[in-house]
Parts: sequence; structure tokens; C-alpha cells
Amino acid sequence: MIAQKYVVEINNLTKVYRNLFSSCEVKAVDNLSFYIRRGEVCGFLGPNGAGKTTTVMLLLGFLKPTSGTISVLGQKPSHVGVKERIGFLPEESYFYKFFNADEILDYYGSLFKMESKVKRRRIDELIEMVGLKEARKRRLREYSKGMLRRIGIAQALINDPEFIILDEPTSGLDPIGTQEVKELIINLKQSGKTILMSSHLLADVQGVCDRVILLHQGKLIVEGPTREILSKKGYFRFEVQDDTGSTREQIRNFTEQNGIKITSMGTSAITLEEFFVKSIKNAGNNNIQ
Amino acid sequence: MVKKILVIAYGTLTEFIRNRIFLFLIIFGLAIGATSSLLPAISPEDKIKLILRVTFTMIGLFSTLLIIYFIATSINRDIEEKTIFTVFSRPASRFMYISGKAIGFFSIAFIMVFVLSGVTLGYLMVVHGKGLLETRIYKPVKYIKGHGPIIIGDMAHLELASTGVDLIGDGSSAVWTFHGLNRIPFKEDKVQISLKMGGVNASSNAGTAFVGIDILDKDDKQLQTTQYTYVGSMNPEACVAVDRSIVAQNEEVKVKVFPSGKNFYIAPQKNDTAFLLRNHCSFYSNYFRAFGFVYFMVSLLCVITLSAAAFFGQKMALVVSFFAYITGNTLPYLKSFGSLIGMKSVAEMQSFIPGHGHLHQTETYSKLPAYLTEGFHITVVKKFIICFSSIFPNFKRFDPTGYFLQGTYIDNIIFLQMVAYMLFYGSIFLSLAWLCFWKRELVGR
Ligand SMILES: Nc1ncnc2c1ncn2[C@@H]1O[C@H](COP(=O)(O)OP(=O)(O)OP(=O)(O)O)[C@@H](O)[C@H]1O
Ligand SMILES: [Mg+2]
Repeated sequence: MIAQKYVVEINNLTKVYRNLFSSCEVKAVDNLSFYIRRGEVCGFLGPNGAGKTTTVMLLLGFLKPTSGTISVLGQKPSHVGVKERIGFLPEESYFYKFFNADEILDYYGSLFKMESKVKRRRIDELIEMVGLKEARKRRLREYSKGMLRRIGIAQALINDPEFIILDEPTSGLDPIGTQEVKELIINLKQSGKTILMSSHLLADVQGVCDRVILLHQGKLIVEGPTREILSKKGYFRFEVQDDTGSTREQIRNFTEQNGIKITSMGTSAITLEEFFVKSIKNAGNNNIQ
Repeated sequence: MVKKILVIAYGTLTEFIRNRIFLFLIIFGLAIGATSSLLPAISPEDKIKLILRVTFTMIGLFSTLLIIYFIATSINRDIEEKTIFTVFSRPASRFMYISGKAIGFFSIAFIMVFVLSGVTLGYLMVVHGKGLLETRIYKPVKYIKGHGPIIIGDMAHLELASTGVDLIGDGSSAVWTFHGLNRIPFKEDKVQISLKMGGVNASSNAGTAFVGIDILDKDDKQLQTTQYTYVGSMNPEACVAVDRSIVAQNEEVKVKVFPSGKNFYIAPQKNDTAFLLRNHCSFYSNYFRAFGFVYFMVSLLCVITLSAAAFFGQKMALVVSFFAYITGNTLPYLKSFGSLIGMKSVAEMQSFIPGHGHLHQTETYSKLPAYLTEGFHITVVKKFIICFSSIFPNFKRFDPTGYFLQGTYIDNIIFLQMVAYMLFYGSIFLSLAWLCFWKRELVGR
């Protein structure tokens, strides 16, 4: 099998939702075209109702496009076999809630061509990875939103997929979870996976995505490598250690003398997120009960 | 592929078992057994028959309602809560999904009917243990008018000719005349004679009528004391035990059935039949077959509901499935109703249902306006009703209670016929389910 350069190719995709009983139509995706290269982490951004989830549904063949073409791993989205190589985390955690964590992973894992020994091992690894070791025998019905999110991530990875679609992976997660997911995504990228990750929490996307696609009202607004999009040409940022208490004055004098313009200055602080993560990590035991 | 189908079936089964419904089943089973024991009966044997009749009807009804509800919600919950996407994002096709669900539902139906009938049987064994063993289930002999009795092993209930019956008005009787019974080598001390009657119109006692049965010789002399028994008002069959010596000494035996009470009539039909019941078999093997009948019916409803749920939303699926259930249970009435439409003379009606005259509706019929009895539209309605009632499976066929009430064996041929009937309709509706689900939009309906 030749590895295609593009994992996803979308051309002029349009999806119109029609209601059977009323004439109102919603153009959720409007003439959208983009590509995802093998091995990249692609952030899929946009405000609520921009059409992110709809595009994901189309990618997986749950919806039929009104017009345009989609190819996933060189196949049509409706192709059953191609799903062997895809992992999917849905937007909301709609799993069979009468199962417990172990069983749900076993259930979804059994739908793949996978040896049961390999499956068992992966289940243990994944449960360990998402920190649900102590809750693995509890029914999903009793899970909190974030716990469901975690098991969702585990189930998306059960088949060791080469292309992973994550629809808002960090929604409902605590800051530690968020950080772990980000680290996970970076790890996955390093092992050569391709990832499409939708979100509107920009901070989550910024750290991990190689490229972002910004949607608005179903249309593509901006697309490009994250670093290029975000860099502010001609500006710099420093953080300075203040041992004497007068460093601030010294710098100000220096810049004024040399005609350098400072556009902003302030006291350095860690973000609340960093503070939260640090405090909880200090408190020990990271497993959810 | 088979593995994936089984995985989906396993998921469906787990969903059912983890529901509280399961416990409820056992309680309900006990309740059926206990309440049916409250029914009045004339003899312990009759009591057991009555209990069986009520329990099997209840088991069928209860399992059906439960499974229809479960299937309609299960499929549509998957779609509405989008759980289905977690299945279809794996290499599982729609065909596998529906097949897996179907197998899951069949297993659920099996568990349900098994638990219910198991609990009631257990109850019966504890409370009427001795009676059960003494309850005799007889294998029938075919009797054809003008030909006399033919012993044909276990075969019965196939196409049988009339045995020469007289008729009746309010509170009157039906008489069967048998010739040549003395030539049959009966094995038991008592010869069981079972009479199948077209119409018994009963004011209900759990859907049964109470009749008296006399055995007469050719001069209408009574040969044994009057016996009383219950007959079901749907597919009524009365069963009477006659001493072997009486049968052996008389070339001609008449059996007279009369209602014991004012509230019902017996209206024999032209295809009424009689069986002679020869040697008996075990109660439990008949119970097992009756269990099979109820299970076939419930599984058939499973596929019907599945195909409805594959196409419609939850509410509509429920409505359609209940409609199929009710229609399937009233098909015999519907068919005769269809046939009666447009009939104008009492003679015509009586040739269709002899004894119809006792309803004294002659005048009403003759006064019907012409547009209700003739014309193109009447032909269309009539044809439509008759066609309609021929398409749906007839659930009444799966009702085993008649066999219990009458104490006859459900023989292999009937059992196999029912298996074939179930498979035929089952595969039609299963294909329909696949077809309906093939192109269904899973979002925004
Ligand atoms: N089943 C549906 N029927 C009709 N319209 C729908 C349906 N699902 C989504 N839409 C419409 O399509 C548009 C895009 O919705 P979509 O869920 O794709 O947005 P999104 O980008 O995922 O938003 P969010 O960030 O809130 O998850 C919205 O206007 C929404 O109202
Ligand atoms: Mg969304």
C-alpha cells in the first residue's frame, strides 16, 4: 500500500440541512476545500455553529454531502474497511452507558480486526493513560463529564489508528486533563499519526497544532501553519529576572537612551492554568476515583 | 463479519439485562401463576388447563408488549443519542448493525419467554405438582364423515371434513354422530373425544364458556352422566372422556354439547370437526412445544418491530408494531368480516357461517341501504380487507392455549408448520428491516 500524501482531501464540500416538515434550510458547510497532510496535527477552529462537527460527520460518512467530494485515506467516507484505520472521539460523550470502562473498550475493540491478546493489552494501557484505573469497573452512567471525555479518548485510540479525529477533545476536562490531552496529541504526532482536532478553546490548539483551519458559517476563512499565522512581525518579548529590585529602571533608561520603543510591560505571573496544574500535581495521586 | 454481528448482539443483550426489567419479569411470572390459581374450576385437571390457558396468554401478551417497547426505544435511542455513530465509526456496516440487533432481540425474547414460562411452570409444579403429572395430553385420531375414523399417528388439525352436525338456536345444542368407533383399538380406559366448534358465543369467564356434554346411543338414550367442561370462545374445542366399554359396545355414538347457562350459544360451522384422542404423552413435552409457539410469536414480533424501528422514529415505530400485533391477533375476525361485507341474503350468510340465524338479525340486514351492500366501492373494500388480512402473519396461529384446554398434543407436523410459518414471515420482515435501514439518514429527522 502506498501511503498517500494527503490523509483527507475535501473539495468544494457543501452540506445543507433540510427539515422534512418546514422549508427552513441551514447551509452548515459552504463550498469548503482543504487537505490534511500525513503526519500533521490540524486544528479545526470556528465559533459555535461554524460547521466543524458537520464536517467531521461528513468525513466519517454519517452524513451525505449535498455536493462536493471527500476522500479519507484514499477512500470514500462510506467505505467500511477504511474505518479500521480511523479513530474518532465524538463531540458529546454518547457511548453505551450500561457498560463499564473495561467493557466499552472491549466492545468497540471487538469491532476491529484485532487479536484479543493485543486488545486486552491496549485496554489496560489506555485506561492507565487516561487515568481511569480506579474507576474502570464502574458503569459509564455514573461517570462525570470529564471522565466520559477521558474514556472517549481511550476508545478513539483502541485500534491504534493512523488518522484520529477528535471533536472538542478538551471540552469538560480539568486543566490537568487538558494538559495531558495536549501531551498525548504531541506524543501521537511523534509516532507518526495524523490528527484532526476541532475546538474553540484556542489556547488548547495553539500549543499542539501544526496548522489551523478557521471556519465561519460553513466557509473557510483562514488556513495556514500555526506559527506563521500567529507571529507578530517586528515585535519581541522578554522576561527578565529582577534580583536588585531596580532592573526595571535600568532597562527603561537603556531603551530611552537608544531610542527603542517598548509597547507593553508588566509584572510576570504564571497563568491560573499553570498554577492549578502545579498545585494539584503537588497534592499527589492523579487517578480519578 | 459474524464476529462483529455477535458483538453487536452481545451489546444489545447486555443493555437488556442491565435494565431493571429483568427482575420485574420474575415477579411478573410469579404474579401470573398466583393470580391464575384464583380462577374457579370444576376439577383439578380443569384447573390446570385453565391456569395454563391464562398463563400462556399472559406470557405472550407481556413478552410482546415488553419487547416491542424495548426494540422501538433501543434502535431509536441509539440514533437520537448518537450512540450509533460510535458503532459506525468502526468497520461495522448497517447490515451488521441490524443483524446484530436482530440476534440480540431474539435472545432477549428467548430469555423473556423462558423466564416467564419457567417461573410459571415452577409455580405450577410446586402448587399442583401431582396434578401436572396426571394431566393427560392425548394424541388425536382423525375422523372423517362418511369414512369413519382413520388412525394416522400424531397427525391432526389438518384439513378435516364435517362430521354431520345439527343446529341450534339460543341455548340449544350441537350433536356429533360417530360410526364405527368400536373398531378402533383404544389403549386407555377412557376414550377422549374432542369436538371443534365454529362459534361459541360466550359471556366471558376468562374467555371461556361452560358447556355440558352428554353421550347418547342411536336411540338418544343417555350412556353416561353429563360431564361439564370449559371451552374457549376463540377456537372452541370441547373434550369429553367416554368409557372404553361404551365405545366398544355401540356402533353408533352421539355426542351432544349444550351450553350450561343462558348467556351463550353454540353455533357449529360447516367445517367443524371432531377428534378421537388415543394414547397420551407427557405433559412436559407439550409444555415445551407451547413454549416454542409463544417464542415464535414473540420473535416474529421482534422482526416486525425491528423493521418498523429501522424506518420510523420511536413513537411511530411503537404505533406500527402495536398495530401489527393487534391486527395479527384479529385476522380471523377480520377475514370473516371481509367475507361478510356485501352479503345480502340470510341464506348466503348462513352458508358462510351456519347458525348465524340465531342472531335474529335478518331484518336489519334486509334494511341495509344499497350503497352498503353493492357497487364497486363495496367490492374494493371487501377485496382490500381480505387481501390485507392475508398479508399479515396470523398471530392467533401461535396461540397454544387451545391445545392445553383440550388436552391434545402439539404434534411434530404442526410444530414444524409453525416453524416454517415463522421463518417465512420472519425473513420477509428482516429483509424489510435491512432495506429500510440501508438509506436511512441518521441525523436530523
Ligand atoms: N441535525 C441538524 N439539523 C439541522 N441543522 C443542523 C443539524 N446539526 C447541525 N445543524 C446546523 O448546522 C450548523 C453547523 O453546526 P455544527 O454542529 O457543525 O457546528 P459546530 O461548528 O460543531 O459548532 P459547536 O462549536 O457549537 O460544536 C449550525 O447552524 C447548526 O444549527
Ligand atoms: Mg461541534
